[in-house]
Amino acid sequence: MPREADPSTNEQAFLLSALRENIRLDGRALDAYRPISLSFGEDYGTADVRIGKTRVRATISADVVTPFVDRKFDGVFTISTELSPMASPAFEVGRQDQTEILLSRILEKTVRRSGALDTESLCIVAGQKCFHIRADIHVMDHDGNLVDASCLALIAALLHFRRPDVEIKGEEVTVFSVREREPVKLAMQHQPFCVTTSCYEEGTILLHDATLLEEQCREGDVLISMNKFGEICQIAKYGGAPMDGLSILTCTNTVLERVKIFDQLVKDRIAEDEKRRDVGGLIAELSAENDR
Amino acid sequence: MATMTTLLPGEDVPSSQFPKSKKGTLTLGPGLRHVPPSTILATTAGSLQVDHKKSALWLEFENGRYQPAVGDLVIAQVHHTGSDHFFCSLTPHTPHALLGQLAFEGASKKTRPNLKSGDIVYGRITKASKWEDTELECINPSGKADGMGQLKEGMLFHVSHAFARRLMMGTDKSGHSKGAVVILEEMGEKIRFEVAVGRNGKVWINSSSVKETVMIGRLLTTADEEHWDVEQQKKAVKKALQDA
Amino acid sequence: MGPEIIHHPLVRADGSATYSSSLFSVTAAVNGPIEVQRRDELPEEAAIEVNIRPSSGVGGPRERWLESVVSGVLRSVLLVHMNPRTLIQITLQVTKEPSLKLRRSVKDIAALPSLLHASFLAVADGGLPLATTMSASLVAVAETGETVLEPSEKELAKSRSAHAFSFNTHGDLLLDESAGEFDSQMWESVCQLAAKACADTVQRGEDEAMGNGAAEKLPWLRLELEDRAREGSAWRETT
Repeated sequence: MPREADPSTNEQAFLLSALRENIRLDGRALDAYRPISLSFGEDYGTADVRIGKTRVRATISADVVTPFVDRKFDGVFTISTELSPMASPAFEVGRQDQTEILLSRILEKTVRRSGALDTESLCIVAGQKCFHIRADIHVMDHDGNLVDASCLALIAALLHFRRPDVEIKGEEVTVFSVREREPVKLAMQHQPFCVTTSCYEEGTILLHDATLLEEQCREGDVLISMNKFGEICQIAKYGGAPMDGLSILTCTNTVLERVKIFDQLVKDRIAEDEKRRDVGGLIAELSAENDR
Repeated sequence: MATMTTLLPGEDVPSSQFPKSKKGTLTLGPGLRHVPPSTILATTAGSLQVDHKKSALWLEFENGRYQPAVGDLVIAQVHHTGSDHFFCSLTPHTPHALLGQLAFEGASKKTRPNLKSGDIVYGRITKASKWEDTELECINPSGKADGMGQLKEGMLFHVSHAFARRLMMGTDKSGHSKGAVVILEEMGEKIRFEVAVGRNGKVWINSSSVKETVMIGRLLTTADEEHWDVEQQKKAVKKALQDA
Repeated sequence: MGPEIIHHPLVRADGSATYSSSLFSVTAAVNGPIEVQRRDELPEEAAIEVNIRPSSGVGGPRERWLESVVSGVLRSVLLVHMNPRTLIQITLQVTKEPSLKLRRSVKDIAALPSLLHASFLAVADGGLPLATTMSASLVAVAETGETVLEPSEKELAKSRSAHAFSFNTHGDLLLDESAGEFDSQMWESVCQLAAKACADTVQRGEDEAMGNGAAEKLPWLRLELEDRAREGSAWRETT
């Protein structure tokens, strides 16, 4: 029953007249993002992304399960997106609303079905044991552009995560805890990101990273996911004002530029985090031994 | 100013802090409650403020949802229209407040204002009780609008209710802003604009250009979020005017 | 070392707080008083809805139990009669859990003080009417019978029993949950230890308690709340 409160007529009218003059309420350029911050938790596999006031946290966990009968050589990978009233009182517990359905569908298409995670590498013993990698998306603050933020958090968390190491002796499988043996990274095949383009005035005004108010006033949106090589994983356009082919094409070009920035951001932060973890750690010890 | 008294929820106001009152009555503001016979308890964590002239005392705290109080000027958004009331929302996800269709200047059964869903009005709260619906009016007891009524065009900016209160404090005799917010005054020297501040954390700004409205709105919202002091505000206003 | 606290980490929620102890990290968000659904409406009081979300996976019976315990304690702390026919909605997101494998029941008990502190700080941040200030503490009893206040992960894993207590500033018991084996004598001594620890978090700075030596813990809860209160009216000093 509860839903996001509609903005007033004044706000809607003003926002549109400002956009006609190429002005956004927070002073950004039309294709600019709000400041993005990405940080990692103490444990492996938690990423915290903030885009302006929007904040999303992704947590990855792993456990050992029996693989699906029809996919004996594959591990299991699930993404769970449950919105809570923490992000906005408009989200009710235990009831899916449109935002949530859209978010989970796009993440599913962008990350899982594009084969970002190599599920075959999660197989331990064919048909008997495999890893179940579970991603939980927690939206902490909602000020628009949940999809881009969640996708960024999810990819960053997957890259950051380490699963427990295993040893197979014949039929016997030993899973080592983090304390016993250094955990291993997940095998990623590529890193796709999603970029949402919102359109106004029958597709003549296009902008990126819409705030909640801008989302509420838009006529339509296109969600495009691709990796840094420009390989498109999915394009979604659920209703809204029609767009012609050419604008979609120009869209993909700007999206690619943005995806490259995302990719670099994640790479840099991961490198920083590894460096931080390594202070006086294993690598330092090893190199000290080499010096002798 | 004496050292500030901070209270934790459930702590009592030391009787030494009570303002002296001629009538022997005290007025309690937000954050305090009276437990008979003569104990005053804090209901949240905040700093104690005392007004000796009005023999009033209240707690000041920063965050939280706006709670309607009689006499507050607010900006309300019409949600839907009933047979003789407009149902308005003061903050999202709270029960609607009622605005009588005749509670406007010069309104009669034939000339009542035609407000639609999504329109905003500037009004005064006339009834606020936990047992009944909140009510508001766009008319003074003398029958004048006095600046209240529908707000047309312009833009609505959202700030914290504590900041909105500071914006409405006005200036003291020597011209200093009591709420330590000078953005509107500083801007007003250079730019012409209209402004309405609602205690429910909404600021309506209208000027001749989109750019100027956005500029003022952004200065206000960032001053609130980043807790700018007067100097920072002056500097930011100067910079914004130069860049424009 | 006291716990780490971040006040008002979230933008949308009316009140919020992040509380991190050595065992758990919890972010709490509170919205309220807001419109309540008919089925949950209480004629004379505000309804309290608590949602606990684990860091991975969806909540199960374990979370439902914790929710009922937390909302019970909050009901005794909040002045629910001040906002009848409304809803106070609290969402608790756990972001860090002990990495050692703990017994289920022990882990649940250990989570309670962190959950309670996070929600209390969020409710205070949101300016919701409170009857009193509360604090909670965790005590473990080792195999040797030794009591440990605010145990570490290892101490908890080896403990014979774990106890979570919560007291308000008047020393009234608000919560008592225990897991493991213990006798009534042990419970009494644990309870006293916890009551003392809770009182310590809110004691007044000037009091003679400060003179009791360096072993005395800082009244972190009082300091945090007072700091916040001062920040809220910091603008007054600039005028």
